Amino acid sequence: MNDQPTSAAVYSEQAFYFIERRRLRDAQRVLKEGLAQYPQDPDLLFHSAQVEWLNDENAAAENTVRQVLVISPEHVPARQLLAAMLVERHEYADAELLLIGLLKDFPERAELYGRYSRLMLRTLHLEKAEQLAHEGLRYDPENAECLLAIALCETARGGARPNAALTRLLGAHPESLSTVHALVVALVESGRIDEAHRIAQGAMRADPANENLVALVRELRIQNHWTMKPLWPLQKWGWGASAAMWVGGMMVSSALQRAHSPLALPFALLWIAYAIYSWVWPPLLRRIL
Amino acid sequence: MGNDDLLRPTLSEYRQVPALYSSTGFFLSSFFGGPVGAAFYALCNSQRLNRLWHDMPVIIATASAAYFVIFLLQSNGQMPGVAELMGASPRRALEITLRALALAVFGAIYLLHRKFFRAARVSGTRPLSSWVPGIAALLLGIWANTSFINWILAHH
Repeated sequence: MNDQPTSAAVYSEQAFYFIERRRLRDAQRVLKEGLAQYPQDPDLLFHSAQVEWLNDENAAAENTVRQVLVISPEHVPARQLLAAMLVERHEYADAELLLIGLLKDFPERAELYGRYSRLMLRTLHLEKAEQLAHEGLRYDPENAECLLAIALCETARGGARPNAALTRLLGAHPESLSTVHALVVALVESGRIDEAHRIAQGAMRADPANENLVALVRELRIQNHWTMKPLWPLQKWGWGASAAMWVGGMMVSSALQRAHSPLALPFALLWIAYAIYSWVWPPLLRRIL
Repeated sequence: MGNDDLLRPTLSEYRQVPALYSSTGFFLSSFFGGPVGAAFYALCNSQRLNRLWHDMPVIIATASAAYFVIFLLQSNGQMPGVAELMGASPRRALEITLRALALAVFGAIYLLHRKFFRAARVSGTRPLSSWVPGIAALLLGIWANTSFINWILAHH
């Protein structure tokens, strides 16, 4: 029996199956076969671009996706992928125009509002990001992209305060990578590095090929290393803790000196050593691990 | 904001897309450059956020308030007491007080820009390189602080 695909659509389906499972070599093999027979098929070319993008061959991916848009200018996934590529290249204004074009064509697609919202958040337009995500939720109240965008906006506004959108995201999409991302960001912002590390590790076990997750777990592993424990006030309260420690250290040091205490010198040395440790050790650890 | 407003391009209006210089550079500029260092660095951030004219009065008023507090302490004869409490010379006491106030200025301005710093962190945006504004803030701040302390010690 001949089990070779008989149409571009079947090749495309097979490629998509492999891409979803991150079996990129298999996807490449299928796409090569398919494109040999249907070199102008926009879906096959789009999946090729996806594979190149996932393999970090960004220039090739962009060429391929532009080729798709020459053949089929309205190809929605290709337009979305090109927008993502432009965001990655920091060409935010062009990415915005592409997303607006998509939203004008599909004004009820919630995930497009979510993506535009993330772009606005990335370019520090918090109010517009929130409005876009809320608009998207009008069309699909449980859309993961929009809930993620609002959860991130709420984290940006409120830090460690309760985050209603994150709670909704956890309820609606407990298994989604977006949920993990939002949760980890919220935990890191409230200084709960240990929990963030455990959650990110769990997600990485489920999706070990995800490079973003691997990088995130690595960074959290550094932050959560036992040699970083003495720096927890700085991790939790950031620059506020640094300023408070300097003012507190000056006050204690002056008081000990005025009292002619034998502890004055050890305290001053310990204080300076801690300051040096907090500056020097984290970058060193990052190189070591 | 209606749907038409939401779908009006925002980013093509800018010459430079909004971004921030790092908070580390901001802290160091404030710590070593005093209130002027903090203000200068914060103004650079405001300029990159396209909020320069909006933020400028608050930033300048906050930094000026720090110098005004020192001026009041010195004019009212309280600075020698502060120096005695610290066990430091009058100049050193002025330097330490100015640094403590600079950290307060840093805190106040950080609150003004906090949502932007947090938005950059949660969206994974890399901060801009701080070398140029940081060094400029440092030099300007050190010059301003030295001039201010010399002036206040000579005239009050």
